[in-house]
Amino acid sequence: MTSPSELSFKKLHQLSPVFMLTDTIKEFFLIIVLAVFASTRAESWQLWAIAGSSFFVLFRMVAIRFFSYAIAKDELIIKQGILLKQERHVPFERVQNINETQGVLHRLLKVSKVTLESASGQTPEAVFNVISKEALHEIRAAVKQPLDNRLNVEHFDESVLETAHSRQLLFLPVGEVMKHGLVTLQGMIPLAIAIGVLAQQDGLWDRFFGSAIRQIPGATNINAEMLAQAPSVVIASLLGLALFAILCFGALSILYSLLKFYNFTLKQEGEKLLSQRGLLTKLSSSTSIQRIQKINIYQGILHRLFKRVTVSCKTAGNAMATADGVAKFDVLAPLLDKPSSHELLRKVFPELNWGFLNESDASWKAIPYRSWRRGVKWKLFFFAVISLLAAFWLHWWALIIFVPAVMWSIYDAQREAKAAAFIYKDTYVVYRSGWISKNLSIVPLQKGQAADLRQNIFDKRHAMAAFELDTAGVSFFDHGIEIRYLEFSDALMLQKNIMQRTNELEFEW
Amino acid sequence: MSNTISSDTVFSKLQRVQESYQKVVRLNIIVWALVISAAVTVLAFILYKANDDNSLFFLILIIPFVFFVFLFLFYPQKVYKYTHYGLVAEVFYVQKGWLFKKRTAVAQNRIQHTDVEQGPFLRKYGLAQLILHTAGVKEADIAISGLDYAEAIGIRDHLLKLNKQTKRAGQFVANDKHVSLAPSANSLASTVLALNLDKKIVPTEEE
Repeated sequence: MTSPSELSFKKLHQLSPVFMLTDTIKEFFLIIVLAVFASTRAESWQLWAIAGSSFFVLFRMVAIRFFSYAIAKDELIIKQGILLKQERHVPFERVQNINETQGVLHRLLKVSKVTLESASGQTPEAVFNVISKEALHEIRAAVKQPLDNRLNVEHFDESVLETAHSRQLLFLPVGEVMKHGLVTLQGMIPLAIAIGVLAQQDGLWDRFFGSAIRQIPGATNINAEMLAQAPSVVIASLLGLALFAILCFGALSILYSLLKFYNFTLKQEGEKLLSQRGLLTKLSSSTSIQRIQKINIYQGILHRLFKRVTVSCKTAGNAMATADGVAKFDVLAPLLDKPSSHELLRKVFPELNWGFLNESDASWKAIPYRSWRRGVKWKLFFFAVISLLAAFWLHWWALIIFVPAVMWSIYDAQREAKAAAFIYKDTYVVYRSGWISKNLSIVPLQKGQAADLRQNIFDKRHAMAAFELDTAGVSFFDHGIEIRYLEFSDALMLQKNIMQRTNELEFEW
Repeated sequence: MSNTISSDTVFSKLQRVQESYQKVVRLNIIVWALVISAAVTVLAFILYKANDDNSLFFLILIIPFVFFVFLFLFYPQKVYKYTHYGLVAEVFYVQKGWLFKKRTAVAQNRIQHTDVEQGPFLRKYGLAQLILHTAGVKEADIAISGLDYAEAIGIRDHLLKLNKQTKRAGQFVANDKHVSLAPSANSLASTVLALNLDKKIVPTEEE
């Protein structure tokens, strides 16, 4: 084996400090904006924040010059660090994905930011910020070789070799990307941040918006008296404002989606999935199909307006990989019509029986309908608090809102109870929930980890329990196999059978 | 058939933690009581000074006092009574909770590695905490405290043995890479065993 001292170590591209500077500015953008704009008065904490950020940026720009790497026979050796020197050996066979990011500047200068991901762990094995195209090809060639060797081992299915060519599974035209923007309304986030920052600046807000808003009757100072004097004018003005806001949100959201999902392409190469997307910054990411831990099909209220769904997945090892501007592989189809989404899933996962995608399939087992009486109590409690607060702050007649709230809560709870159902089979478990926004999660049992059975005092009284199956790569807020208000016998069966089955199935990252 | 998770067939095969664990819990309560009381005293003093030396603010000390007395008297018993664990058909179960019961199950082949830890109080009574690490997120670490130290080591070794025995045709063999004794942040001594499940593709071996 060649020792590190005999190898020729290469540095990153000479423009790496520039890209490190831009990346750091992006990471600390919000802090910088807040520090500079959050108050009209210069405060000492702002100066410290700017000084601290500047030092940090300079340090990172210098540190990147101490990064070097070498390609050995079976591994990549990386050296980095100024005071604390680190040497990392990454065996090629551990590298599962090579992700490449190219912004406008990257494309102009013919460089890329590259990360290497392994099968486990939440941070990339190596981050190259930035390297030339030639260097990237060298690394790809060195990493690819061990992957090719693995095709020769006896347990691999011959059909993998037959499908080793690339096939395009999905391409999203511009029209669909724009619809995605309208459906997700993600433009609200940067708009809300901008409004928040502007609102801190007394003069700025008034200069840009204040005088315009003051022209609109009722916009700034609605009260009962004004409403009584000219109700139609006030209401029309408010509706006009609301419509304007919606149009702004819509336009921003479309722009956001175009930046993020322009030319979205999903391809399959053997057992790997590759996706490319992005307007200004091109993001390429890949994952092995085997690394997918959970599949989710989501249909919100706006999705239903356009008769579309979003298909996403969770992969092992990069649940937190949003740092360094690297694209994590988590979207199979940002927006797709239902039949096409079913077709896509059948192509990518042919071994699963997708008959359950039909909502009336006999495999579905509903949760007990009487669970609506459990679910409605929290909703009633919530609306009771809102009504009491409204009555306290406005007028006692605000309590009247509790009446329609009760009716809505009961209706909502009953529809939710009807919509929730699960399927347990030998190789997978599925759970669907929601009637306004519908969510469906599929977990192959090979990816199942620990399983929880929960029963509180209220569950005990109703002979119910909750069941949850954990997997790698998820976050706490994801929809998954977390089923409440199950019949106790069903919850018990799920835990027992799933554990037995996962014990029989090998877990592969 | 009963409808509680404290009366099914799996539960009947689980066992309680050691009775002496109640003493460990009480000692922990005392430590926390001292820390919280010190913090509340400082807060009360600040309020006292800020409100013209109004000594009524020291009455807020009653809150943590009552809380910790209540905890000291009742909590250790509940922990002992309602904490169970066991290995049943190659699945490890941990059940906790009194009013809000939770039973966590993990198949032995999903355990990535195990830790056996001893804080100073656990060590005093010859007890230990067993922690099972999985690849999951919400149940990444499944811990059970109050086991006899030798028993915790025994369970850890048994799980390792089961992992070694888990062989499927043409799939994988688990290799335990190293055993090391290293102090951890919250214990005087800890034994860490890492099961590094390398994906070596080998034919099934005959034992």
